Amino acid sequence: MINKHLVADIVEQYVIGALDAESARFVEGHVAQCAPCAKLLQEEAALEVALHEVVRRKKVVSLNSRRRRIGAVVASAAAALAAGLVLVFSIEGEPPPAAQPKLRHCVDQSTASECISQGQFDGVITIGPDREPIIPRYDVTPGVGP
Amino acid sequence: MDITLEGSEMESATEAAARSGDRSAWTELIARHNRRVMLALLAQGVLPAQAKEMAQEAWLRLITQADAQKLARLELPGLAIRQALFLARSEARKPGQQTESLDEVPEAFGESPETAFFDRERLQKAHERLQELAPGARAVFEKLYGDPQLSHAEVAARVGLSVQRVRQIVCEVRKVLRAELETQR
Repeated sequence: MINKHLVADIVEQYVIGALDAESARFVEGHVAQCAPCAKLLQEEAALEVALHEVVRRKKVVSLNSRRRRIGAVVASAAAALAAGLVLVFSIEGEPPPAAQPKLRHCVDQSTASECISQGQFDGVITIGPDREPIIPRYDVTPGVGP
Repeated sequence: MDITLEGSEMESATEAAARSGDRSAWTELIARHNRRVMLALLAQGVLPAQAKEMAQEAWLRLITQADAQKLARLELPGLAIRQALFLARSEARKPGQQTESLDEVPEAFGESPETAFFDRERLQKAHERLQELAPGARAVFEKLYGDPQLSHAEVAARVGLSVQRVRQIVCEVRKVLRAELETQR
């Protein structure tokens, strides 16, 4: 029967791999004979395992949001293509407009806000300082039509 | 399922080399992943001395299976963890053995060991809490607990901090996330 128990901090240090070999052996020897400390070790290890999953979730979320962004790009491209076709059919005989760049980099922090706003206005996808693409919105404005 | 798309679940070049019989590749993989295998066993209530034996046995079985061309893919650490937990369950079911803790392991454990301890909603909330932390602390934490998993010394070198400071940050973040996960229990 062991009267003294391990300090929780020591168990945490063991679980995160921060103890030297001698201290680690002491913890291992102690928990082999002390049920409450063995339980504490089990809980700390369970938390450690869960923390890996907490971090892993970022990638899952990122993958999902990336898929959504790709979906948005595809939808925007389809909308732009449809709008272009309407324009081609409605302006017969006129030369096609000059090709516009479809992607604009707005990575300079000092001008990013203005650059992104202009990109939205111009209807091009902009890449902000955080390297995330910003899709232009194709809002229908009342009162503007054929 | 989304989780299967993430890096750790995809077979790396080292894993492919190990599967084809490269012993140095196995050595590298065991050094990199054995801690996760040990943690999974400890989290199930297996004592450290037994956990070390089971982890070794799990790796030996994987090597044997690879040598026998029985492994179509080698995804680590998941495969090693499943093998180790299988051994732990088998050991616990032997007559006269303590079975209580291992019998409580949900069946889902075999598919996603980490989610057995806390449900997805709790993990998601803890993840959101992690996002609220200072970027520097979060970066350290994610390097240590992400893929590829780095050692404290490797992370310290990458972020320009001392190993001691990296460990302090880990403990601080653990404290925050522990509170988040435990308040949801």
